[in-house]
Amino acid sequence: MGRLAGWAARFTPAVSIDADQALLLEIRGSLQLFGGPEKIQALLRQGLHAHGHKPVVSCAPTARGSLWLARAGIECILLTQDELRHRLLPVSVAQLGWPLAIQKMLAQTGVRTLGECVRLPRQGFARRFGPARLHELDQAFGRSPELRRPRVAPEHFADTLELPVETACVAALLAGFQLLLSRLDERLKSRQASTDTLLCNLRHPDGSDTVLCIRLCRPAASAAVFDELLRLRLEALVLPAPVTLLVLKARFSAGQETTGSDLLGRELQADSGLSGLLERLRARLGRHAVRGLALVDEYRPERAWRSVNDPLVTNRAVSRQTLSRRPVWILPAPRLLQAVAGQPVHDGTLCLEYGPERIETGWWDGDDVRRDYYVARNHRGARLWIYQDLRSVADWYLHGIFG
Amino acid sequence: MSIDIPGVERWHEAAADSLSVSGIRVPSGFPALDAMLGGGWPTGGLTELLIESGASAELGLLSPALTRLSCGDATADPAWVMLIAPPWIPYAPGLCWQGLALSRVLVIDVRQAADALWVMEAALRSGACAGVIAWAGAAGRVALQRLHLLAGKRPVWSVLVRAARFRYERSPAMLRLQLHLQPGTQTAVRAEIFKNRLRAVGTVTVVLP
Repeated sequence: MGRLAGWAARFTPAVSIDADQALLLEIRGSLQLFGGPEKIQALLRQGLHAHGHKPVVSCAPTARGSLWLARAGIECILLTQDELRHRLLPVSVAQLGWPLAIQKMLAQTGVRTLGECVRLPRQGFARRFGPARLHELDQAFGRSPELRRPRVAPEHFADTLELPVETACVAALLAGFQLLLSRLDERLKSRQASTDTLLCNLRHPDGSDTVLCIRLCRPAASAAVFDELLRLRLEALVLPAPVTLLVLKARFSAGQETTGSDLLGRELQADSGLSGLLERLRARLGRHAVRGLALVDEYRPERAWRSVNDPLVTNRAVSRQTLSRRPVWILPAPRLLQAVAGQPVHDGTLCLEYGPERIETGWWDGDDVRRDYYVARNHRGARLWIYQDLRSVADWYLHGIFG
Repeated sequence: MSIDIPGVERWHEAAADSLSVSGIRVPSGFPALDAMLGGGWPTGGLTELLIESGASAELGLLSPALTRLSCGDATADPAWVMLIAPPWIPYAPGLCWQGLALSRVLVIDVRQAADALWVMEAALRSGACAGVIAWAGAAGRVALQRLHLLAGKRPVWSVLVRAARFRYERSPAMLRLQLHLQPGTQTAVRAEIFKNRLRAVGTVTVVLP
């Protein structure tokens, strides 16, 4: 029912669910937009058929009135109170969904239709059948206003799909997720929301889950972008067991980003091509496989740079520093070199070409260094960046490579 | 699967050439090399750079062109360059010293060597980068052919860096050259150009900064 209510939210924001069997839509404000109550009725019928339901759609000036008409199986479009009154009077009280005890009492007094109810004295009716029933009658005939709290759509999306057979086949899983994604897409449209994180659970027969998390660097308003990312992730996934149930969850972020067709549109478009590419790469290689580079104001060479996880956002303007000569490659950790007669050896004796450049810093954070850096040449002509660690027994280390 | 008929490859190459939006060249920063290449590194086709194992000088050779792309110039806006599966960590202060605009550099790490080609293909397909350098190992001919054709669709400078042992494998790349380090007091590289579409092959020595 919640899913249907979410779907119906495209017609009006005021949707409420009654007793898990009926949807009430306040459409006065939407008549103009959709071209009249007949159009809305047809669209509702069509849409609910597509969801696999056989609805009775009735439209009336009061919410309670339309609910009772629908319960009685009367499909109609009524626009005035008089028409409504005329149609409601012959409706049987057995069809209103009132408690059985009250129905029985009414039958004993010989009251079968709403018309007969209305004709009873008001005080007597309230005393015998409860003031709530009288109030409902008043609401149905428009004599007293009815306040309904519109259903608040949840801030996230969660849906499950049970698979008819357990499978580990990527194509079958993807087809299942595509169905869930189309539902998500519908919800995003009706809520005008966007999402940037998708959680996919694949449940195995023993109850354990394999979880996939797909994140975008900017929220998407359409679930279509997840389609290819999901395929890449599923193809890379090694499943420990076949899958019986798929769960898809997404959290909405407010507002949809409109694609710009303005003067800035060109720039936005170009960047979105790149962000799409980076998302595809991340989906296949992992979140940390894609990075940008930035300088850090720090003398220790291994700390003078950092990776930028979101190169499109944070890395806009970096001023170019004046630097001393630095290699283009650095080793993940300095590599200890052999030394022969005090001379460093790496693929033959190294010839020191330039240096030393003393780097002595970091005493305040316990990771202090005291090094003499040199540019060294090996016998092949490659330039290496090596240093002598002055804190130890003058060991030589390879730290970077030029060229 | 591929069928090995020399004429067919010629035809493929001709097709790639006619597809190529090229003519645009990225000046290499080395006048002698530019003269051999007809104005700079070619775009719209694959360039294959073969290197010796261990420390080599390929990034130093490519840096001036990467700088030109990432910083932009009078004719072009700053553009993104992508380094795919580099053999060591690209050192930001070093790249900066070479002149690159770090804010336009993307580094992609891969876990399996085969992924490097996949990343390059995705990058060429998206057309979001002006320069794509990939360090790759063995590659099937069909995969290379596909990369070459993709590279021909957009003016992207695409360079595949591979080990020298792949020199005798057939490749659809429009420019193939091998780097030899020169022992000596200067950082000099001998670039042996052995395939240069519609141009003369030959050897040129450049001195890196």
